[in-house]
Amino acid sequence: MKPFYFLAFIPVVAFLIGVPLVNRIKPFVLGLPFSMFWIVLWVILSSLILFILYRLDQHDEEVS
Amino acid sequence: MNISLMIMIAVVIFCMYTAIKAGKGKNDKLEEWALGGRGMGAIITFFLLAGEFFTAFTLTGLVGLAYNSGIATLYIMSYISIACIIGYFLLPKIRHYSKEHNLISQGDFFEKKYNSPFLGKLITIVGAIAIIPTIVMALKGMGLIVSVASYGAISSSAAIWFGSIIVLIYTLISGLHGSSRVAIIKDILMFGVLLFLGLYFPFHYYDGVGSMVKEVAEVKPQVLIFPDTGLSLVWYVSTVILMCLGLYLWPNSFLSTFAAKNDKALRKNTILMPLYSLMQLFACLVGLTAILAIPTLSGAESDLALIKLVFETFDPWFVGFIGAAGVLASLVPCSVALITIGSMIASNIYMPLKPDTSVRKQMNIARLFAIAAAIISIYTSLNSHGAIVFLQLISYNFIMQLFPALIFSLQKKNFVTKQGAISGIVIGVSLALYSAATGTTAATLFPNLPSFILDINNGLNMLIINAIVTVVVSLVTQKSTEESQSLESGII
Repeated sequence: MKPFYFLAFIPVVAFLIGVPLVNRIKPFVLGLPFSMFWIVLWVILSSLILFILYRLDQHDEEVS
Repeated sequence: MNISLMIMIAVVIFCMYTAIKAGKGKNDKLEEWALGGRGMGAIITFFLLAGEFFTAFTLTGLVGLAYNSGIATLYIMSYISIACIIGYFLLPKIRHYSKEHNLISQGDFFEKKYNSPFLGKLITIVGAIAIIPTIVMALKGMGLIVSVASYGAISSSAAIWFGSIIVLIYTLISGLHGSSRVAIIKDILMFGVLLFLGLYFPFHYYDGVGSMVKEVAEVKPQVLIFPDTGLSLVWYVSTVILMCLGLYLWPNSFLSTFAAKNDKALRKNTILMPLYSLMQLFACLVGLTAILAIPTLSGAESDLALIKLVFETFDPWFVGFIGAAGVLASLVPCSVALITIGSMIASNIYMPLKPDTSVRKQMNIARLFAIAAAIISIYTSLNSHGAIVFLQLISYNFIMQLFPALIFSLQKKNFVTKQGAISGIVIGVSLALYSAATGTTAATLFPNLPSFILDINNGLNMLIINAIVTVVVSLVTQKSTEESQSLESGII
């Protein structure tokens, strides 16, 4: 397994362990209660992290 | 005939025309009809895979859930995000293997991996039973939306009849070529409708999303965080785990994966899918606005929250577009499901019995099974309410049972034997049936356990038992095959 694949675990932890830790209404961020903002944030970051993995994988494949 | 009904009919006719045109002259064998010739690029594969997320349920049940439980709706985008992370690694492996061995269906995949035709048939039957309820639910959702959006001009059962005949006609003629075109039209329409409503309502009734949410926080703060019991944090975590493992187990998502042109197409999909699932946030915002604007909905009525808000706010022609989005959102998953059922039964149940069938006849046999599945679905959605609840309960729990066998089969060294895989699935499916038939869950068996254990999604318990059985039976059978082999070599 490539070392950068460990990035993929971050969003999983943020959802399954993070959400129970931030289950509160305040502070409001971007108009959303904090609990909802947290989930929305990590949905976006999941896409971003997958994009990073994709670029690194592309790079590896071009090198080899 | 009113304007909103006319708009719905016009959109559906346009889609039928597009679909039939896209499939014209291309369908000469099963691989074309069921997999679009394995030439689907990133965009079309995306809409085929993502099409499953936004069905008529998004406009009805999901908004209803937001109305009653608010933040609970976000479990869907959470599990889609995790599923995409899993899919990034999983899907290319599945596609490679299918391409290498020229596989058509999910049953083929397991049959080849475990070298067991029986397992292939078992998977096919489990998959087919699991898909039928999704067709039934889509048809019922469509009936509801059309009857409401046509201002009662068309009854729910008439809508189910018309809708299923239309989807059957274009699916039979055009196969996945046409189905994928309609999927794109549908998602554009759904995206437009949801984005617009999700922002328009909070701004129309309040000064924006922020002040609407603050208002909800004062009136009904309990919907903005996960409560201590019921749809609690334990429910959230266990449901997200269960659902994210299940997303790629559906025979139709196997079909879409097989149809992809290359790994790049699949990987790009998994990058975009979480962002796309954010669209459900807008359904949630509509539901939250409805809490304040129409606070009196109760029970099943809350599923109509979106359409009732639209009635109060817009002209009938706009209602027509909502209705059209709802109709397409049902037709697309139905179409893909019918293609999946037809092709999997044709290639895994029928073909082994008559291996010398010509390629053209194979495709027509698949079409016949698609018709049969449609008839069963229409009958079930028009009759017996009890059966639908039962089917829905077993649907997801059935498909989940394929997870251990799939994951182990993708390992480089797979220690799970075919006996192990078969017994795991049989035990899991029996538990799901028993639980749905008798209403038995961990909660009814052990009512004294604390609520944080009782809120664990029931399907997850079945899955754990299945995994244990799979591993234990595999270890036992593996040992006995090794022993008999060494015994045989000893004799020689």
